[in-house]
Amino acid sequence: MSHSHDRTISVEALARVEGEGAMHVEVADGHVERVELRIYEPPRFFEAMLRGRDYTEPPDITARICGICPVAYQLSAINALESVCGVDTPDGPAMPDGIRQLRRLLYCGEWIESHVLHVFLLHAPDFLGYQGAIEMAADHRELVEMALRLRKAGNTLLEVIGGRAIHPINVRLGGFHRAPTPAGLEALIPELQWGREAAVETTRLVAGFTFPELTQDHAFVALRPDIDTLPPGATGYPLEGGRLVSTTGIDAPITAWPDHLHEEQVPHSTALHGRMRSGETYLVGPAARLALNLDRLPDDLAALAEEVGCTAPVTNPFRSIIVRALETVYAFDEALRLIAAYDRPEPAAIAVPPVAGVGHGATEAPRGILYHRYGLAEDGTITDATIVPPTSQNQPAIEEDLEGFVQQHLHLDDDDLQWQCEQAIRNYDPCISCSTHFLDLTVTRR
Amino acid sequence: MTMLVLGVGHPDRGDDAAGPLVAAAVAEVPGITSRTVTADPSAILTEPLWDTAPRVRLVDTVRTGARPGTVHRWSGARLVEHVPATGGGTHDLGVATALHLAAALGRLHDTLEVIGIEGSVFEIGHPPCRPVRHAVAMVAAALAREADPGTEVDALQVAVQVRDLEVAVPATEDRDVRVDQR
Repeated sequence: MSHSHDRTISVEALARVEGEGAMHVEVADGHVERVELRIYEPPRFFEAMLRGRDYTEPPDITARICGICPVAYQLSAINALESVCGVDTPDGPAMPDGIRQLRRLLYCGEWIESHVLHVFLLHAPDFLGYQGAIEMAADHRELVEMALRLRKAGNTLLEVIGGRAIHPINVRLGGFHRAPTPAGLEALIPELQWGREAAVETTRLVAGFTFPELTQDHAFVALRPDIDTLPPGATGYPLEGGRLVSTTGIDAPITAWPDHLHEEQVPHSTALHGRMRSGETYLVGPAARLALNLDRLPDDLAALAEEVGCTAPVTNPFRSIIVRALETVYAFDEALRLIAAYDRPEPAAIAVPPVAGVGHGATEAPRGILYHRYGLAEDGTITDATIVPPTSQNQPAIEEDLEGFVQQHLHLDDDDLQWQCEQAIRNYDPCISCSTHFLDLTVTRR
Repeated sequence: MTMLVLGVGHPDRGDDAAGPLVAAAVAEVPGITSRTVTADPSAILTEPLWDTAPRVRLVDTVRTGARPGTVHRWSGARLVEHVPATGGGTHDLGVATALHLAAALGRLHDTLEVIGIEGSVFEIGHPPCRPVRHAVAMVAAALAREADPGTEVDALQVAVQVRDLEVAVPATEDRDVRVDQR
């Protein structure tokens, strides 16, 4: 144990996050001088790999970036590519609403499986005082059994629409290779109804956890669907697209992304760091989505949000687990609504001929906005590709939060401080494999 | 139904295909219900037959340092001692973590046996190596005999099935196969 003003703590690996990396903290004379999240895994070069490939390939290639949010990669790529090709413009092909709604339904499955994994099996053990889900299972059997069943519900939805739960194979530019039958989707309804109620129960449960004090004041950035584009019955909480909005006043089409947001290289990480053009850090993810789209929740979910204290912006990142649970309810709710309204699209895809130009696309991955930009040649060859995952955008804000958090908790011994830091990082559900990867902790106290 | 066979693995990733190949090879054997688990191994705990099947056999590719094609068998209360849960959790719960969860939930039954086939090649698009293909045939034949002792099944028959299903090269040599009972 060390309580000196200058000290070093080293942690070999952070558990319960997606990917691997390191964290380094320097403390001198009782003050935190520097916090760095070191993402040291080699760059994966997906953007370079895409150059020279055919414009139909990014949905399948980029899905391989992540095993937990492949749908986000597929649909962000599709949004960008269909945008280049003029889909839904006066001179381009029109996208049938049935295909759009099926994409949204597919995305609900991804939100369910990803949020449930994080809420129950990665994050809840922190609040209930366990090293992990296995230790938690012995005392909270019902909770773990519920988690496994909820995840299965999400994965089944992915399998029925996408062909398989991880790296779906049924998604293509212009739509789907094959649309599921109405009967195939209706068979899922009983489990989705159970899942919705279980997710409501979960939201109330996690809202009762004890949360450490931590307030951050980062700008929130999220997508927000244009109200004029919503089909009847939809409230338009963001999933598969929308305008770029922020708590700092951004309200722009996604084509304006480079005008407002950018990435920069830092020496300690193989992942780029996202910042606003003004230099400010910002956060994407569940708390940002909810803060900027609270009015897009159905009435009963808005009431639940009020009941669990999430109607004001959630600025304590530890409380993000409540928002994730609330969004899980929304995903079940929305899946049921979409299945009830399902009109099998025939054909399952439209032709999308290539057009030379640059296209932008973004969707709300479980961890936040995932942005893609592609340049295409006239024959559909990809000339340029840019992919900005949510964890890259959140990384500078996470470092700032940790700096404040470590400063507040310097009285802890090294083991406890490491444990608390790891919890603080898990608040953001980082996916290092996307950004590109994550966590050994080193604290130097001098 | 006397036996649930769960074949875990990726069918297009070299020796990782061993589990799915065994599941496919025994799919038509009387008394066996087989499932292939290619994603989210925690799904084995939501498989309806996990708790009710008289016998459960989980087949997966393993890496213990033994020769490729070596067949390991683990069962009983100390099963999880042989399959340490992974510490850093990422992107999904692996088979080992799922088994530890089962133990913590009191759902690791005496009737469960984990059969690990030692693998060495895991590249995407690569076929399983010959010792693994042969081990697949041996394991499938053994499971078929166990489920239905009256059935005339030998390793060669199953090897032919396995070849027809996924593998272009016939599996004929058995001298690299060793069965370890643990």
